[in-house]
Amino acid sequence: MLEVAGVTKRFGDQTAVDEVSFTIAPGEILGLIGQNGAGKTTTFRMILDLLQPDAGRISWQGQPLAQLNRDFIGYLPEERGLYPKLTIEEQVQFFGQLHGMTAKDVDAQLDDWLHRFEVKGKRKDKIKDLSKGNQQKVQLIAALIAMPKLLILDEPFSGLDPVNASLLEAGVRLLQKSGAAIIFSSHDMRNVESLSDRLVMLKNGREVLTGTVAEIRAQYGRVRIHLDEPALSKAELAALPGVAQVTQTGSHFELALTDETAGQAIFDRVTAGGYIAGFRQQAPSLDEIFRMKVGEPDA
Amino acid sequence: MRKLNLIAKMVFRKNMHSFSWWSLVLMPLIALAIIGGISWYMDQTNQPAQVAVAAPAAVRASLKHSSDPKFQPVTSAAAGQKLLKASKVDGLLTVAQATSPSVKLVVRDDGETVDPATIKTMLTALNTQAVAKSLGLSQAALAQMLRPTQVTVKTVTVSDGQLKAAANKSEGLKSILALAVGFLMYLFLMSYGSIVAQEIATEKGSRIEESILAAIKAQTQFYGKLLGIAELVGVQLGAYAVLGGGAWLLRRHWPALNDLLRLVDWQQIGWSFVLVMIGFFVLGILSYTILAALCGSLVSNQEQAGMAMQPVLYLAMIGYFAALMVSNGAGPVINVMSYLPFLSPMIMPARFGVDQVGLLQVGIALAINLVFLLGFSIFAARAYRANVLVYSDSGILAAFKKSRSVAKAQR
Repeated sequence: MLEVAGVTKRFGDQTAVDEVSFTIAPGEILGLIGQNGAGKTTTFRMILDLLQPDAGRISWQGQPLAQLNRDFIGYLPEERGLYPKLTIEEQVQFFGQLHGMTAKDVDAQLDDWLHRFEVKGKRKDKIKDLSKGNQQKVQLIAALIAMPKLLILDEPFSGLDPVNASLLEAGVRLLQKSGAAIIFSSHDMRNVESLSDRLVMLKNGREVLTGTVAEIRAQYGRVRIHLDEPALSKAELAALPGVAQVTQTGSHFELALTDETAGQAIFDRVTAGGYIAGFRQQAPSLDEIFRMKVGEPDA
Repeated sequence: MRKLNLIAKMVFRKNMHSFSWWSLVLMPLIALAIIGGISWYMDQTNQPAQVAVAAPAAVRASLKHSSDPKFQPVTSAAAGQKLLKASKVDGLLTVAQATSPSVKLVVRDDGETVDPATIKTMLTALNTQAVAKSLGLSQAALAQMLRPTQVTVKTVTVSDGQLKAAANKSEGLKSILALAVGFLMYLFLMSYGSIVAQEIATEKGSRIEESILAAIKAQTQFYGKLLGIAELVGVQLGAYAVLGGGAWLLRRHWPALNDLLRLVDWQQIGWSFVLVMIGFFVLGILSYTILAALCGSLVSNQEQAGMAMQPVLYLAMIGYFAALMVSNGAGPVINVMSYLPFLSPMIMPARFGVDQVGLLQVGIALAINLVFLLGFSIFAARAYRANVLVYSDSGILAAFKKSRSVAKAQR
């Protein structure tokens, strides 16, 4: 288990990370979200021992992480880089062996990984001759092939098309099944919502949200109603009791409620004329919660 | 250790597959081959001059053993002129009698070069022998008369008001060797410094650095790179040593090489001088490679690698030019510089070569350089850890300042 306890990091007068704490159990995926400059990469760099925390501690299975051999850590940085003149095989061999694998093991597993990520290229192809998408896949393979027990992914979905994003998700799930503790950052809340067991949101280096996606959304109550093709106009919907705001997109309306208990009365009113195509009352999406949190004044 | 070797192996393999490393290794060999080829060609085309000689029988008989120029006896000057007109000889030597005070030499302007001084020396010797014989001098008496006076040179060093005999040294040869090794060191540090600076700058620029540092400590990576570079230097020097050894063994079958080797009085160089040269060469290359690695880690990408090498090259140039000035006498500035790290490996061997310093001073300089190298490599490895995470487009100095704040944050 990874334990980050009360970790603080300052650069001069600026506090990049301020008393952040979380744990990741084996087989768990933690999403770390926040705006640019919120402290996500600094947190990752502290876990990787590239930076030392000014306060707090980071441990793995109860041992200070900085003192351990790092073979068990897999890392995919935000800005991707490979040796362009090396072949796929040489590249993966280097990173596999750097993480404790033998050359023989890497050799035996490489074809499976190339197939799993649908890499269009042969082992002996040079990295510089591959498409950008295939280069990203090779870097993913280099990070995952050693089946690390702790996997850190900094913006892994950045630059990936939906098909490759699904392949990445499958790869992460494979490691999750093997019992790896996984932490990743992303700006895309759909990915965070679908992949994370729990999430931590940072704002100016401080934790502002922690919990499972369901728990976080539940904190806000079921204060959103989505209507498809209702018989009422936008003005009529806005005039209903408990409705704070109405947003229309074509024949779809989204109602923001001041109180979730107003939902029953709204349902009765919009269905009074009979059939409507859709009525859904739910908590705000993670994307909305993210925007709300970012917009909130600092405590 | 495993990861250190893995990094070293990666550096070694990448460079072994690179055109730039092979050109670095082969360039001196190609240059030697070209020089040797030109020399061989000149040797083949430069035939000894053929000189017809019309002279008394005794003179003709003595001259016919000469190999350069080659003499072709003729019965008369007219017969010799005939050969000269037909361009069958390059010159005609006419000697009226064995002890003539003057002779006549006609040379063709489009023929091989005939050196009158050589002919003059030969005829003077013949004349001396003939005169000695006519005076009834024996061969032994003649040899005694012509024996040159031997001048024995003893070199002394003035130290603390005392005259101390210097060892059997050839200062000129040592001075030349010291400067040649200094130049070789300059070439090596320029090449390997560039390789290591380029290597680090490329890894930073391609952002692969963080992926590597996730699995390995920055210090280990740093030392691994240096080890890889040291292996490359070792292979290059080893290859030269093997080729040099082969050439030495084959020297008897290779006249041009044999003549070249004979020019050097190997006995006079001495093992102490050779060991001093090797010691400073190794310390110098290591110091400069570490400095180049450190500077390389301060730039942000491959395009800036040249900028990283500038301080390294300036420092090496100061050392080399100071070494060139050593033969003019050592003032206090050169004296101090010859003990300073980075400058010492070039200046001190030159001073030792011209006998300005003894083994004690050389030993002190070597010790200073060794201690500095150990401390500097530890400092450089620590600084590298901070530098590789810093990206700045405002130059090395700005990157260095930024890196210091990161280094403080890492403590």
